[in-house]
Amino acid sequence: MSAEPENFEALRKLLALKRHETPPPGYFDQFAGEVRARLRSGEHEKDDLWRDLGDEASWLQRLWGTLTNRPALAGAFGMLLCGAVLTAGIHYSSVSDADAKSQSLAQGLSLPAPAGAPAQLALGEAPPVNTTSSTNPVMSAAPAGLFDQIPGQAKEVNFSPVAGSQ
Amino acid sequence: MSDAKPANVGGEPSGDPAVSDELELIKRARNADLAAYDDLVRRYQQRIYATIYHMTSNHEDANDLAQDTFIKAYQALKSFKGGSSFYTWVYRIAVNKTINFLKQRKNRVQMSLNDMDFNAEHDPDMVALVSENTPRREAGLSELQEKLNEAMQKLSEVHRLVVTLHDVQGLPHEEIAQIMDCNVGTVRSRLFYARQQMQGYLVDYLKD
Repeated sequence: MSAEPENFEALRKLLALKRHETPPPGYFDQFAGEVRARLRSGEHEKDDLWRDLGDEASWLQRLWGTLTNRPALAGAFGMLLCGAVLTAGIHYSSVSDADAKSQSLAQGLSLPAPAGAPAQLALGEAPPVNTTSSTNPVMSAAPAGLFDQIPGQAKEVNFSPVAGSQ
Repeated sequence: MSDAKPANVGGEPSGDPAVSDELELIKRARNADLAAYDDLVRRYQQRIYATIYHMTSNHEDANDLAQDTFIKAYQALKSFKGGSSFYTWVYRIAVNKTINFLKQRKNRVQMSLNDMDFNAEHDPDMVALVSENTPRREAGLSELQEKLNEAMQKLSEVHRLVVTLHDVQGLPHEEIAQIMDCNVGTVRSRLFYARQQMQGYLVDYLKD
C-alpha cells in the first residue's frame, strides 16, 4: 500500500481499528439505568438554566472559551469591563451630585418663611440657620451665596489721615 | 453496535416493525414513560457513546456527555417534530454538546483511552499494521492506539467529526451531512482534508 496523498486505504484501515476501543465490560448494561436514575431524580430540572445557557446561548460559551484560551484577550476584556464600571460609577456620582445640589437649592427656595419674615426668600438670601433637622439635608442650611457666610462684623470706619503724617 | 433501524417520525409511514415499534416508543416516552425511553436509550447508546468517545479520546468525558445527550433529548422530546429521524436528531444533540465541550476543553486534552477489545489482536489489518510491514516494527498495539488518538486530537472539531462518523463508524456521506447540517460536498471536502492531515501525522505508521 502506498501513502500517496489521495490514496487513503491504509489510513482508513488504521482508523477502522478504533472500533476495537471499547469501554469496560458491562458498561452499556448500566448506562441506560444511570440515565434513567438521573431523569427520575429530577437532576436535569435543576440544571435546566445552565443547560439552556450552554446550549441555547452558545455565544456565551464561545466567549468564555475564547477568554480562557487567550489570557491577553481576557486581560484586555477585564480592563475594558473595569473601565466601563468606573466610567459608569463616575457618571452616576456626578449625576447624583447635581441632583443633590438642585434638590438643596429647591428646598432652600421653598422653605416655609418664619413668622414676620417676607413670604418668599429672595435668591441669594440666607435661610434661617436653625431650620436644619433630621429630615432636611445639612446642605439646606448652608448659605446660598459665597460671601453670605462672612459674619456681619464689618464696621464702618471713618478714615481720615492725621494731619502732618505725610 | 446496535442494529436498530432509525425511525422517522415525520417521514413516510413504514411497515417495518422495528421502525413502527420505535415510533410507539417515542410516543410513550413523550408521555413521560421512562421505561419506553429506556428502550430508546439502549438502541442508540453504543453509537452515541462511540462517537463522543472518538471525538474526545476520553472515556469519562464520553460517559458524561453521552448521559447528558440522552437527558437533553428526553427534555426536548416534545419539541421533536420528526423532520429528521430520531436517530439523526439524537446524533445532532450529541455532536453539538461534544463540540461545545471540546471548544471549552481546548488546549487541555487529557486522554483516557479504552482498552482494545480481544478481537483487535486477531484483526488482519491490525496484525499487518503492527507486526509485519510497518516501518516502526516495534510499535505495539497500545502505542499505535495512542498515536492514532493523538493524531485525531490534532484535527479541528469538524474534521475530527467527519473522520469519526465516516471512517470509524462507517456512516454514509448523506447521513453525515444531515447530522452536521451541511451539504454532502462539504462533508466530502472536509473528509479529504482531514485524511490528508491524518496521513501526515501518521506517516511512520502507514505502510510504504
